[in-house]
Amino acid sequence: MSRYPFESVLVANRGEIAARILRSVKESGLRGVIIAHPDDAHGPAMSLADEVSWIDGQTPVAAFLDIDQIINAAKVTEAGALHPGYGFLAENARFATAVEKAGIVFIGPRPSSIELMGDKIRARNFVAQLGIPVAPSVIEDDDPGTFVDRARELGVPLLIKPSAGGGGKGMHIVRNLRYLDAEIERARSEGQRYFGDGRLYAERYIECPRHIEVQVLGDESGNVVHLFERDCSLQRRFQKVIEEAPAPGLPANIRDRICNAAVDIARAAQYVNAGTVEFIYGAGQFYFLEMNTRLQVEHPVTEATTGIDLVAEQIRIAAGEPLSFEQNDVTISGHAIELRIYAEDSSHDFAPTTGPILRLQPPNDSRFDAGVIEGGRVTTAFDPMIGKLIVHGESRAAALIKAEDALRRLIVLGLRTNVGYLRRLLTDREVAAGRIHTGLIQEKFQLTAEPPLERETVARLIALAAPHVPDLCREAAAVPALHRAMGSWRN
Amino acid sequence: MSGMFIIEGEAYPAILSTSSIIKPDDAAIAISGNHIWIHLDGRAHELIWCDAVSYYTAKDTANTDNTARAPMPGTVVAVQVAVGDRVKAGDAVLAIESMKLETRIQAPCDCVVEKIHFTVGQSFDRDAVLITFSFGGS
Repeated sequence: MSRYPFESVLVANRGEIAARILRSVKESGLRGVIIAHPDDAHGPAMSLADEVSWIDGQTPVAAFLDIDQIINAAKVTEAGALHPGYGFLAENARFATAVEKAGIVFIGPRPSSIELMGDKIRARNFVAQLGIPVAPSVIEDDDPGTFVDRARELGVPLLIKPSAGGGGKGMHIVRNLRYLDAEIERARSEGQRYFGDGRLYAERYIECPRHIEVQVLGDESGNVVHLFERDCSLQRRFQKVIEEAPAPGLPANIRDRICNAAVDIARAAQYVNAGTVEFIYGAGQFYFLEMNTRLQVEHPVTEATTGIDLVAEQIRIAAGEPLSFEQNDVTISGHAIELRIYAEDSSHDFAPTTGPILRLQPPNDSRFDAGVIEGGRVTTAFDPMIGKLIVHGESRAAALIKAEDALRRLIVLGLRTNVGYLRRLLTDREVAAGRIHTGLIQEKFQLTAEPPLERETVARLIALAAPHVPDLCREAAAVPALHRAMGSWRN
Repeated sequence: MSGMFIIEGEAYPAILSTSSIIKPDDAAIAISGNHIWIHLDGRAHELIWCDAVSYYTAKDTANTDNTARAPMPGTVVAVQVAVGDRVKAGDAVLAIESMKLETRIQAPCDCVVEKIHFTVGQSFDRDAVLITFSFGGS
């Protein structure tokens, strides 16, 4: 018998997060069920699950977005609760509602919270009403005739963005109001060209901003605590690559204010379960960006510094239990860094790569949440994440050394990855000094190129590779010592 | 049979060495067809084995290549030439976009545009032939 009102949990996700959730499900004494698509039959979660329920769809991703099919899988496997992970349906209020209607416990916030925070403008207004700063902005659609004047009133630096935009296209920074009209015209024509929509909005631009987010937990009884902040400023193409906790060099009074603001927002939203409040921080000011109503990819750095298993807490909260600790019980020790290992080519603008995972051997002294298994493949069907490497040290400097060392020992063979790039990024002077911001990776584009190979390295590589080429070996079949040496090499 | 290893786009003669300049346990090796992956000194490398005959055949073809190929998957955003145009090596013939980056495709030789394989808005895979040229008269 389970100590919870449910005995099994269906994990409605795949890859590293499905495996990670299943570990805590099993440790909580519950039965773990996983959904899987036949094209993705060799994921890391498969061997951890007690039962697999197969789902299908026009594409593998479509299957993971099929609400009816997933709820049916939960019913058939008699799962009493469902964990959505991140991505896919994790922040879909309709899904959370359907799960609850089916009599299954949704391990996540109430549908109303998902809805409130999912609408970015509504969330912004909700937060602004609490007296928490949001980045000042003006929306052209509110009153097109006065848009330029209202933008002028905001003051510089300004960021002009297409309303329909995304991916950084058509965004223009204005540092001198003399150029405001010209930049608005350029942004408008780019918006028109890229999105077929020339409407704009203007937002106060924060120079060299940092992305700082706060982990919160709320229970059914209305208790809300924060588990301190994470810094996720190192991003490429608006996606996080390296996350750490605590945020380097953040003044103690700012940390207090940001963490308290996050708790205030969660409490006002009557937030239940795990959530993350994201802020932009720069020039001593912080602004609310958005709230993510789910478990984040980067949650392990918080687990490493607080010693709290976030998924186990999510399950307890969903079971209706009150938080087992208070704010004052939450302390942080040391510094943690997460490195996202992606199949991508840093020297080609981080373009995703695909290929077989011929070898995958993480260092045995670090946490590695694997998204693929040795013998598996990274395909275009899902995101190109190979796994997350998490290190924990007494200080940031110690954690950086551990991270670099762990990356050196992480063996991934069979496709191009960002491991080499991450090593170069970690040893960059600004990164090492904690002077990070969301534009740093773009600024330091010279780090994306693989350094040229030394002649000695080439000679060693050829010496290592040659015995594995049958054509070459046949030629030299008269050298028995070599074949003896080959016998001990693993393919 | 002798041949080459292609490492980071560069070709190196493949030599089966009898001296042990490296202990096998210094490195991790994995093989898939003619691709040999080696983790050495904390860095992963890909070596592509190419026997001498295929290597020189491919090289000869490259020297007289009369096509412009896609360096990466993407979409055509502009076509700067028309069939029959005479172009010089290095002239921009096509603009493509991939991963939000616009790239100019250049003519490989002094030649004439024979066929344009894609129109604006069409997508293509890496290595797709975008334009075929001919060396004939105008």
